[in-house]
Amino acid sequence: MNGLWYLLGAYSISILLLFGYAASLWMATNRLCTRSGPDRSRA
Amino acid sequence: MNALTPTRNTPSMLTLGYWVATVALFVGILLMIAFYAPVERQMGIVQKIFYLHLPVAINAFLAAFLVFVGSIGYLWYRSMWWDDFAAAAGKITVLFCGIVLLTGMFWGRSAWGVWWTWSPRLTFSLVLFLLYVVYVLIRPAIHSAQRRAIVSAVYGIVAFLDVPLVYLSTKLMPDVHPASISLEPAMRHTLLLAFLPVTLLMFGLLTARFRLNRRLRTLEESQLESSYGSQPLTITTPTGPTLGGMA
Repeated sequence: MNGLWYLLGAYSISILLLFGYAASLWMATNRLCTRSGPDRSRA
Repeated sequence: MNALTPTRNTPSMLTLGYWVATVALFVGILLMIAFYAPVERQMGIVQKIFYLHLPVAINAFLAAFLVFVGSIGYLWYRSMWWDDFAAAAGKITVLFCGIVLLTGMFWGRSAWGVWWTWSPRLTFSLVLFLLYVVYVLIRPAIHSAQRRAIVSAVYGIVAFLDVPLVYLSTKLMPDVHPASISLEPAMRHTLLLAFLPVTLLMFGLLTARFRLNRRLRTLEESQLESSYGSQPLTITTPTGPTLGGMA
């Protein structure tokens, strides 16, 4: 039973890190697009 | 409205499809680990960490190899494209090495009763993780883009030398890791399939980080350009005449 908690701990931390990093990249890209988007008022 | 009008970061259908497939495969392999892979007799259920631990470790090596490739690419072509690529791979190496160490620690604590032991493979893996943490940390400390790229490239090539040491450590020295493993067919199938979502995830994160690096580079260059305009850069000396703009 003890092993199950270690297993769940290892998987949940890994998934959190992997998909958390993916989400942080997504948010950083969105923020950058907000800062450097093209000026559509001139089009 | 000015030039900083907000835009949306809309992913292409290909990117969206890639991530949907990766997440679906990841969920699929988790179900396979839970219900298809048998429980190992000696270590019990905690052995199932192995199906994540090994693919992440191999992908950490792959990411370190991509830093090596990017570093050589920069020194060869002197293009910032390669520097951005190596920098992106460096961050992915840190992430994946960190997960390898963490999952290994959980496994070790349950199977051997200790969180950490200074065996050759664990020590070389920790060194590998720290080498790439330093790689990520020294980059922002160097202000000149050219100098940063050269220092990072040389460092990225030298740091990769630790990867063969991690791999060979169990073959050359006694270690808590087995030198080779034999698995039941169901375990082997699960392990082989687990490589697919983990590798897709590694390349997905690498691509996302690389694109972000390229956008940051473009923004940095456009800001520099707008600060200096099209005027040649001139450096005023105390005596008055300028040094720059003469070429």
